[in-house]
Amino acid sequence: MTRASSTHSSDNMTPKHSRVSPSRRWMAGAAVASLFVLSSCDSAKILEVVDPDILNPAQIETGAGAVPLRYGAIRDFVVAFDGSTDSYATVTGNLADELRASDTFDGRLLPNKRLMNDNLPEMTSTYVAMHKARSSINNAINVIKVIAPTPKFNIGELYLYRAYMEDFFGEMYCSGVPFSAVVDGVPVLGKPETTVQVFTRAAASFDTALANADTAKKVLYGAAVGKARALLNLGQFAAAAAAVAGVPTTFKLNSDHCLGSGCTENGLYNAAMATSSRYNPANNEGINGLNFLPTVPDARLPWVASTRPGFNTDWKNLPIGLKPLRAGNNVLADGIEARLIEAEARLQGATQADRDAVFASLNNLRATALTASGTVGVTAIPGAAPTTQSAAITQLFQERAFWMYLTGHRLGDLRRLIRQYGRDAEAVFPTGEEAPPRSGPYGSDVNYPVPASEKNNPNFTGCIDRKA
Amino acid sequence: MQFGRTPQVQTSPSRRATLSRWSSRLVAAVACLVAAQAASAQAALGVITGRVTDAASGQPVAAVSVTVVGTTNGGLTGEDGRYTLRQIAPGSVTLNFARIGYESGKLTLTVREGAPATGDLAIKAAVLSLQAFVTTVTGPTRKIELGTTTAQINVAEKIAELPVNTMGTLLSGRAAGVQVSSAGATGAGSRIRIRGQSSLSQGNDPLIYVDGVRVISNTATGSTSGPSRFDDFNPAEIESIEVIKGPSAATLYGTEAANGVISITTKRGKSGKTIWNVFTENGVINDPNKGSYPLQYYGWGSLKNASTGVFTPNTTCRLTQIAAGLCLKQDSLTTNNVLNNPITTPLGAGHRNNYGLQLSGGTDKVQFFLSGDMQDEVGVYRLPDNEIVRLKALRGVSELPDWLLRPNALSRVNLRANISAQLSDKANIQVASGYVTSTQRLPQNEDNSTGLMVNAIAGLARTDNKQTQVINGVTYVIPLYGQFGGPMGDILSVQNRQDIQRFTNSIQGRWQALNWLSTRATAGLDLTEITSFGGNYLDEGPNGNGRVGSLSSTRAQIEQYTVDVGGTATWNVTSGLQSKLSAGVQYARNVNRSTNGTGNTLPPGATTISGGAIRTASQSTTETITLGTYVEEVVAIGDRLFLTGGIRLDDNSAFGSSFNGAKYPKASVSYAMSDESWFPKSRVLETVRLRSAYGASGQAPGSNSALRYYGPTSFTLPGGTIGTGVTLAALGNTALRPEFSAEYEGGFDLGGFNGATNFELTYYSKSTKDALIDRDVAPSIIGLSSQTVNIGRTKTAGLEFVLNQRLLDTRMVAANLNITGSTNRNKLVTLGDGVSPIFTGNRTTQKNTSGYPLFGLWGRTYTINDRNGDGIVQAPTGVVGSPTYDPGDITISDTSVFIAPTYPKLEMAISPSLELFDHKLRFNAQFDHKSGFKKLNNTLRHQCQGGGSCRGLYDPTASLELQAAAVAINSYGSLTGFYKDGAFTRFRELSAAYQLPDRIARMAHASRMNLIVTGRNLAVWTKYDGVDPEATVGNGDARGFEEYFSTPPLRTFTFRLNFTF
Repeated sequence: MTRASSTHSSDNMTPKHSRVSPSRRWMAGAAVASLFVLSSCDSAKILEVVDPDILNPAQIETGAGAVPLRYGAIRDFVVAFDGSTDSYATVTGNLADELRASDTFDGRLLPNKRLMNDNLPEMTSTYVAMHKARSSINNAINVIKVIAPTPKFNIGELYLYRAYMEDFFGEMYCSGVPFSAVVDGVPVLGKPETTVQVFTRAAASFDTALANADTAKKVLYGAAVGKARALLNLGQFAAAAAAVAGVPTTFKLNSDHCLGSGCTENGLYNAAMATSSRYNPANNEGINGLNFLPTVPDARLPWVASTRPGFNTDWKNLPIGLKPLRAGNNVLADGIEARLIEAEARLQGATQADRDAVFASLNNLRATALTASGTVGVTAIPGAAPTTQSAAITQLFQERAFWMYLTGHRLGDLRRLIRQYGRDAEAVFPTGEEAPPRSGPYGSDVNYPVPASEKNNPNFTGCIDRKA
Repeated sequence: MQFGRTPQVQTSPSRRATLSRWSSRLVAAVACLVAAQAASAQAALGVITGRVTDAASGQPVAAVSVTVVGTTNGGLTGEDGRYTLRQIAPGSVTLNFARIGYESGKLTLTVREGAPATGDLAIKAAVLSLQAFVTTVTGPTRKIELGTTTAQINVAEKIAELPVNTMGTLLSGRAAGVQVSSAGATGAGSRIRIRGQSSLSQGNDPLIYVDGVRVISNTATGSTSGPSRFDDFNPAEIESIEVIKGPSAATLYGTEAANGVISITTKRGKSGKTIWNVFTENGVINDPNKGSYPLQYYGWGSLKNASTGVFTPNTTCRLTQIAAGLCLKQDSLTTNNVLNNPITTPLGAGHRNNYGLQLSGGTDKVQFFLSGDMQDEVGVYRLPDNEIVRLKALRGVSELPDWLLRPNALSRVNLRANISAQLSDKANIQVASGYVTSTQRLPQNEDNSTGLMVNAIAGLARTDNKQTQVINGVTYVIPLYGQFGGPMGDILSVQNRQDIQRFTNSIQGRWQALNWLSTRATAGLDLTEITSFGGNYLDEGPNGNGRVGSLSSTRAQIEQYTVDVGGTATWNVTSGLQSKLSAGVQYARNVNRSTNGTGNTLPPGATTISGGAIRTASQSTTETITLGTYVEEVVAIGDRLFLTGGIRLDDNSAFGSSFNGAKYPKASVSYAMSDESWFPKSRVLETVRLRSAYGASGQAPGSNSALRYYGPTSFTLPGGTIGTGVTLAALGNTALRPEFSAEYEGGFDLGGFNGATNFELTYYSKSTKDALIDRDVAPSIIGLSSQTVNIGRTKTAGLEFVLNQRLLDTRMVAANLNITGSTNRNKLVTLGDGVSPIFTGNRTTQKNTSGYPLFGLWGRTYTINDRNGDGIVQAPTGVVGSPTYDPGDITISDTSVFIAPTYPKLEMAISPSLELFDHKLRFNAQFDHKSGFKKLNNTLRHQCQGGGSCRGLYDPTASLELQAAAVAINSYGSLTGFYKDGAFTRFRELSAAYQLPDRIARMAHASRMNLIVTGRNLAVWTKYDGVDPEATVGNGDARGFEEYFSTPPLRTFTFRLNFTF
């Protein structure tokens, strides 16, 4: 046995050269070969991954995909319109006098205060959802035109929903919304469009819907009311009235909801009627807001007192009952709106006879039309027809507000009161000091800015203007 | 803009062929080199045995790595300090002895064929040894050979004496450049960052390897402070941890290693008599803020309705309302915080128990290590006593379930069996198998409207806020004074439970194919099954829709496979020149499958989702595969100059089809300058090493990020019928490639005073290009808000330093001081043309834009001008733009400006230790410091905004700054007033360990017995005025330094007894 002494050396690498035996050469070769086999085997196979959760466009964009594509597109429309907490119908009501934000997030509090910026995440999601709906519809139209061109009304139905979404952009946002597209897989970036251009675009889409409606009443009447709405926004009152002439008062175009797996619940209910809701029904908001919740409820808004709190529990005893429940339907367009459009067109005559006629038609609607809660017979407007044009306009818009509560019309109406009837913004929008439990003065916004994320479109640098 | 390809097979023949081509070329080159090196091979037949002892005490030293210089032939000493090396080539052989905590030793001896040689050595204790071995992709390597710094934590030596029970606490303050933050609740996960943050969208978590096998470490399902799978591992089973800090060191780990690698080696059995280690630990846990949480406020007065002009008495009266004339005067001011009230507080004392048994032993051929560990910890949250009485009466029961009484708890069992076997003189194998099962309860908390702390302190501090219930004729008045939602019993009636079953298995084999060629292979599977269950039963839970009963059940299975095959050929070219060539192939596959079901609107008695009238179901699968090859050449000149070059080639299933694989190069130099004969060694400066390294690594995109695909949805037809729909779910990006992070680091290691002083200084600079960023896409294009693209560059740089100073070393007294620290600066250099700033953080407080730090805080700044000097900051009044508009007492900027980074610029840990009475009594402490950052006190923001309870709203004696912050948030939406300096110094750890006299140990039939008392989070010094500068809402990058109804780091005291048999 050899016992070595400990040394601390700086050079301990002793060269060792010797002959390599054939067996060791073989083993070395085998080791290298193993590495070679491992590294050069079919890496495509090794890296092959299939995700079962996702759907390949090649499978969808076929004949079998026509129905799912159409359903998916309409579902995207429903989500954007009234299928989420911050859907179009909700957030427009929040900026107008229909709702107040009972939330803790600036994304909802600031719009309610008319004091916005272009970087509110909750409002960005609304804008994204609206364009998602428009894009899904366009995609479905393009595919279905090829793979399932008949029945034609299916295509007309998609144009109908696209047109509504285009109209919503005009009613909700500042002047300057761009409409981009994907053509043959390549994005074509849109340029900012003025509010007038947006409504003109919507009216044209409604025309295309009508051209593809065949005899489908849903499309025919729905597009007629929608076209009239767009024309109203353009100030073309007579043309609007003409568009809805054939629409029966009983017509209803609903957005449908359900509960359960994959369902799109009623976003308005969840947003403003459920316990701990982010929004709640407003009443007399900011001096100018309407008295939507009188002590004796209006039959069109049959509110019920409750101890329901808002999301921010400073908000207590919030009303319930104004809208259908979680699975209930909401109205997108109906014959009542058609009659109201006709009334407004008539009011443009500005004579007492016109005002009397409008007054009578409004009371006729109250007497005969079906309310959202399924009842008929709203108490008649007391007294006689207004004797001034201004009062008549106010009355008509109040009737519109009650008949079409939380259907996404109110913001557009307030803007029209400024744009078409010359009213001051502070005379129509909530103003002054916010009522408790909130505080502080309202701002001056009358529409939503296009969110900052759109600035990733180099054609868009900001709103053209923020006017009504 | 590039849209994605379609899914199905996520591979491109051309790309895959490219990888194969590259691999083939690489392997061909390796083969040529190996063939050349084969010419130098030799036979080997000798045996060396020996014993390693501590130079000071003469005691045997276990776990010393003994290797034959110039080969990878080596082994570890057993508990008796003995080792045996076989198959040694006859002739002069130099052995290298290395162990963490000791200076290296070398021994040259002569081996003769058939005659065993003896190599005994006494080694000196030292903390930072260049001769220590670290684990690398190419096998164990001496630190001196690396051009990078690698932090080693000798867990086995320390763990038993430190207040450490999670992986997060184990790493905290132990390595320079490694920052650990954690939410306070029992079982809450940790956020670990190595050298800061460099990725905006892909996360900055390091890779974790256990015994050579990649393991999952992500934060799992649960609340925002949910558990981390990294904490499934039991620190008591770990021998050592190596922190490989960045791409310069982690190149060969390939794609996904850009954030560094944490390599864990579990304990191994040691030959000799079976050693039994038994321990028992008990402890208490407290919230250090208990009883001293910031107060909530409410001002009372008569408030005027702006619309009607009518005053309503006994309602809110804020300072701004007084100034605006809306409130004539404040009648009274009330304060409270339910957390400070012993009757209403949900905070109590927690406790923990931990019991463990470990066995180690075996023969020269086979060694085993067995471990069993059982721990139960109950956190500080509890159901208040008054709520216990109410709920028992309400539910008509005599007992309430444990999960309701103590909603935060962790029960965990860890088992481990590691076996090492010498299959032949040339081959050995190690099988490591770990198992953990745990059950964890976490209450809803943090950013959660029905969370515990939100409901405790987020509401108005109104004394009239009460809920009355009459139960069985008894009236219960439930105070909700300052609470947000409902009674605490209702809040805590929402369960949140997670059960884990996890197996982590690895098998590592080494075969010394030739004396000059060693091969290695590792295969392993980390299999985790997670079952999460949460929700509340009918008529339980917080006020809201949930009281109809709402349950959720999620089952997830996560599989992480690893295969790693490689070899190293060594060639002693000349007496002073050695070549070491390594090559290998690595395969990693991650599969994540989960199913979820919910049940809503439950009947009485229903406790599963099946009882729900409304049910939903979903399923999710993701899979990612990485395949990489590498080659590395190390040239050693005179065993003091080491030059390394290498490259790794990677492909990944998530790369875009038009991307041809990733190439990550590396090069480094390490120069032990003090080993030169000309070096003027002195007592002050004995060793000097210079090192420099460059390396690259990457981050893979998300598994489906490259794909354009549809997702299923449903459509409600009139009448409620459901139709199946599809909608475009992702844009995809065919050009997607990995983030490419290239890092340079350079520095030096100094040693002096006979090993008493060791100092390391390292500068690092990491540049990331092709950053994978979820950029905003103009929504008008297709209605999807983001797309993962390779844009932009980021840069992270800083200094790291380690000082270990042996202050005193005598038989009776020994003292040591260890200081680690680092600085860090990160910057988003560019964000790509036409890309708007990307906002992150809660309430878009962070703006990521060119030239500024990632996740930095931005905001509109303001100045305060108390115009009438009344000490009240007046809010703006009147209609904006009208003549009556009064802008108030603050002037706010129109645009946001950069305020501060959220990631600390400086972190430092000072760890002194003192040993007395022949090392029998040992004290260890740690002080932890972080500074150079601001954090969002979102709790205060909420209280000043939606919560309506912050002092600045009501108290006329509140500072102008606090009042202004309240005005700025309510009038302008500016959060700037809530960005607070987060700097702190914390007394993190203190422990005292006493080795009881042998006679006492013998009374317990033990050979050794230790008594250990520890304390954690003992004190903090800070100017931060929130709950705690480390209180965090979650473990992500954007919100990791945000307080939002968060729990502070908890204070723990433990008492532990260790027995060795």
